[in-house]
Amino acid sequence: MTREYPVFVPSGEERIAAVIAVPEGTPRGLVLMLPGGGGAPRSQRYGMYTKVARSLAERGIASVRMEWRGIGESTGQARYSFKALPVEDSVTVARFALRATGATQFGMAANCGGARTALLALPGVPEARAAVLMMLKPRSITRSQKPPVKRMKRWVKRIPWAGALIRQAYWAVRGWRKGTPVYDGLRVLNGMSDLLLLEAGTVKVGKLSRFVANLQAKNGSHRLEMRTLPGGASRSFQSLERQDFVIESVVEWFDQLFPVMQDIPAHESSHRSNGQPVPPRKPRKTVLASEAEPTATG
Amino acid sequence: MSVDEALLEGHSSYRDSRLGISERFVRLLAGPADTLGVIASPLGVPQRLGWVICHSFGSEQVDLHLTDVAMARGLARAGFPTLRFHCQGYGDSWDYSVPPRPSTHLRDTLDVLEQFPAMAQVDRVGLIGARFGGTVAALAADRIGASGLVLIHPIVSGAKYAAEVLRSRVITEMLGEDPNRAVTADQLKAEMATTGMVNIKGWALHRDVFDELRQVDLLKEVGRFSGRALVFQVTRRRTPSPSLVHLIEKLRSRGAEAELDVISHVAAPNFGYEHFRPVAKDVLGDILEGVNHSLVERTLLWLTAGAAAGVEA
Repeated sequence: MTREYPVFVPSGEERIAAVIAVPEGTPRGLVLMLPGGGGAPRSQRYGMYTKVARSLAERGIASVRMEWRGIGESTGQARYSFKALPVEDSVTVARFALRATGATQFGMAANCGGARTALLALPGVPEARAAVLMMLKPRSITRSQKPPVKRMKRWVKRIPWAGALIRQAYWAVRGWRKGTPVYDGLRVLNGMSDLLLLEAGTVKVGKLSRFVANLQAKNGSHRLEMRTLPGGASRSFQSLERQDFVIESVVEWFDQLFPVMQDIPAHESSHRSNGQPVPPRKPRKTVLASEAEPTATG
Repeated sequence: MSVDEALLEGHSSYRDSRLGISERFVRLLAGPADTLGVIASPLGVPQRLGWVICHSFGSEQVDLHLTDVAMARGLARAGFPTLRFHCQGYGDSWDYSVPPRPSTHLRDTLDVLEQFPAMAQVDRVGLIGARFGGTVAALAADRIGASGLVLIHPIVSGAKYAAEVLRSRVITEMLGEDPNRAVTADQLKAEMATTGMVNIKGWALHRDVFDELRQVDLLKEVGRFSGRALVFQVTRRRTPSPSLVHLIEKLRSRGAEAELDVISHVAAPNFGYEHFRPVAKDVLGDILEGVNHSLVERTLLWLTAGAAAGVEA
């Protein structure tokens, strides 16, 4: 039976609100879930992270879903910037939840600004073993709200075919430079952790597929996969199919990677990998967009 | 190693002298299952009147939650214990099996209203809600004979609201990646008739829920509330909305002391929609902070005026 504990974790002068979900028995690991920068609370929109937390608990995995400062029940002012990500808050909440649950394996599942935070936070948590990074979008920046820019964007979008080409050209001109910190972070993180990247097929993804393929060819023993999110060009999690895909992928990823604890009753009695040893790791394989399947595990 | 329950329970509340409040998570029974709420309380001696905040419907629950939090903390700072909670199908609630709808919102709210006075040590209760949350607050206040009511841009006509919900997807697509392929409201209605469901910006809107939304009519359903009511209109214009004027007239006709307060703000069109926009270079912020500040300030003024006149909510 899953138990949930809502907490306020002190971080600096503020309190970060979070809900810690724990399974019966000793948890196989702990997953921290962090939303992106659009005002979503700890449960994510549509309760997605709540659903992930409860599915993970059914598989013997604890979780903590947390908020950014100033969002939901967390105190502080709500401000989002790629230059001031809540890395310290994430590590503080992670350390608190690891202590409270007794878990010895750690992972993160996060989207957009949360995923960029994970890139920086995970190296600071020695227990880190796996992560799911959603919609990392290396080229993404804060959208301009200047009226002339907005007018121009609307105008360009309305031109069939040519509009799409102009937008692609724009993002190509932005070049590799904008994505560099993300690529550097991925390079470091994959040296210490198994990574699953879930990306929508937008121009902001840039050359991430190629980068991942190169990293796979050069780098260590950790798993690295990239899957394309269903839902086409829909924003964030606004596709119902995408929501289901994310929930299944996150649960499946950590269920496969966290070791089985033989003393977890709930784990022994239900679900696919329950009672089975963790399958040996296969050589890393990058699942390209065209090859992605909802159940592919690499 | 087992879970450190003492550590977890010890962090289920906090006290903040800067904010002038304390807050604690509470477990509530709402409908068929548990849910979570937060009671914000003053640091000093609390008033005997407490407030319960009803959240809005669908995606608006997230887009308006900072308004709910601002109201809760503002009221608590002024002495009023205030509860905000999740109805089933939202946030940390436990029952996601049934799509939420007006009747489940009302059911959960009425259940929580029974538990709140003992939890917060209050003997009178008022209700607050924004948009559809205001509608639920009004319906619940009518049922229990609440002491006070604060409605923030409430939905008066469910039929108009249901149409607006459909239009919100149309508008989102027109402003999205491919406006040339934006769906129309008629296409959405046809899809709902065929498949029984449409996707509204990631929220699965089922036909039976849509039909129930359309049936809501505050002007017909509110008939007994006779306490003090403050109704806010959040708008870019200064002209009072006819539907809110009718609501005020209806409340007054039943003996309530009701007034309409128009909050004019440049970000008003984002009320109930996404509201994080650049506020500085490379920084996104909540452009509704000013609206929320005004709502709290004017609600407290209204409460103070009522107390001074001896007509407390």
